[in-house]
Amino acid sequence: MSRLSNVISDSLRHCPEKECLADPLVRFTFRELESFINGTAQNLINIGIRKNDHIAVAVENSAIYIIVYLALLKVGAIVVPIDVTLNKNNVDFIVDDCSVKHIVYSDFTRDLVGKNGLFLQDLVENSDRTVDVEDVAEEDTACILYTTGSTGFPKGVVLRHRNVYASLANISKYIKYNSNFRELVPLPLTHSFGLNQVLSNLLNGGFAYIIKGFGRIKQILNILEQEQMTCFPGTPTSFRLVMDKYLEHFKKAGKSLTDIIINSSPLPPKDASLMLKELPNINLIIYYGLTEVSRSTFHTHSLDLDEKYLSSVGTAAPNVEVAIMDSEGNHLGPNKEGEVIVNSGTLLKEYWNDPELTEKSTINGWFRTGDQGYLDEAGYLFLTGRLKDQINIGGLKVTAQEIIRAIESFNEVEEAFVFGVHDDLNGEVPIAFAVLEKNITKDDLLSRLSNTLETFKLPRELYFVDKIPKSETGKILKSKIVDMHKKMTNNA
Amino acid sequence: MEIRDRVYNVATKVLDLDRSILNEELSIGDVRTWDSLGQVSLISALEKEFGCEFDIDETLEMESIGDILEIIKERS
Repeated sequence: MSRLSNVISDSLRHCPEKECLADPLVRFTFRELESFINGTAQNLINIGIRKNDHIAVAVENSAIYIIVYLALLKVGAIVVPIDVTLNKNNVDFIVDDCSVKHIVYSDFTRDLVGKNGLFLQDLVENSDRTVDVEDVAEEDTACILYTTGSTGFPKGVVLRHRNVYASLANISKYIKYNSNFRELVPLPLTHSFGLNQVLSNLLNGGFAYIIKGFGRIKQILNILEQEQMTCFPGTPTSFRLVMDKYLEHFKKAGKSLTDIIINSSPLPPKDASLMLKELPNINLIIYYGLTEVSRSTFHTHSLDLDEKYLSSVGTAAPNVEVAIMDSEGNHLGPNKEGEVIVNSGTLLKEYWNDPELTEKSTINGWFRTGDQGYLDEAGYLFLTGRLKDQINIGGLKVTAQEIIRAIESFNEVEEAFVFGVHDDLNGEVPIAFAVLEKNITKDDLLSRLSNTLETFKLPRELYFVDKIPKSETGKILKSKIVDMHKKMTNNA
Repeated sequence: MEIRDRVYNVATKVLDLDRSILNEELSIGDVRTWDSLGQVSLISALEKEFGCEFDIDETLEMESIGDILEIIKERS
């Protein structure tokens, strides 16, 4: 049984009166949650929502979001989550591209919705009656997640019920979710990181408390302490903020924490090292995955491991295979660099409306991640960059990631980003942007870089900026940085 | 210039907001740009504007424009 719509079935049987879901306004037991899912599902049926209808959900983080999500899945509809921070143009793009029949909206997202909106408060209701619905199979499509990505238009990733369920099973097995878990989730529910954290708790009898983001540190500290949270997921940027400014408050409030889960972008080794030293009793878990193949590797950082593993994203998740492929499709042995490919039950069904991209994305059943990396002898994956981020300097190649790592290894630098720009002489040259933690001149930084990088890899231009543009989920927005660079060079 | 005007000017610039939506109830998370990173930038800009350094407990209390005004007025 791997229908996502049944995610709370076991917990409902074993612990119906246990609290399972909350936000600052409401709290639900499993029985109450089931009642609201049924009532909402009936309302959806009454207004004509049927199996395979594409229904967008543009609702901010809340317990009610989960009710609507699970009610839609119960009816067999296909959920299209809409990030509430998107502007109207991007929302309209997704609605058109995906042939959305209706958009569920709240007071907060009223401006994003044109015609065919369904107001949230009109839909959500509890009911003790069971709902008569069409059968939903594990092969049926559950959702279409539009990836924010970092360049270009969003792509719709089509996931079956069994794909998402497989991801939850892998997460549950590695992190050992159980009914004692109490997790504070500040991450957007429109992306698989945040949503799967909540669903993993529901699947395993745990408790998920949802808030609207990482902005209100006081709220986070209060909830961690008062609710005695055991698990707390976030992005590297969020945790860096906490570690820099609120460490002692966090240690006090987070006394019950046993697990911290970090993703959306790589956790720099020096940040991992600091967290391990300051929070020695907490499992610091990272993972690597894409929306297309969720949670492909997992790793629990430890000071007992060799320091090199601070740069690894871990080993293959339960029930997942990870390999490295050369440009001709051959699998490579240990310590050989190539494209990271993944074979897993989480593998997407297709890219919505893009059979060409769907075909290019797999090879012999393995998903081509577009990431470059290598596996060591023990099966640990080390990412070395995006294939597309390779910079070709007059025939000599370097990945942007290698230069970024070199720049970020200096204590004066908080964060860096590197990309290639056209050069008449060399074809392409690297350009670097850096956010400083302490003062350093450009000349000093470049001079020190020349001790670690070959001359051809040194950035030809170096800019110090206040921050590097990122999406809501922490992904660096390359297109915005490229625009920044164009403006800087035009004004020069 | 009044404290309110100075705070509103900083918030408008740092959070890239239209002045018309600013009010004392506006809080973190109400607008897209006022997330955790927006909050860090806002506090830093306010410290520069008012020539002060807020302590950790003060920054924790700054969840809305009204909170910010109250804290700055208390300091004055």
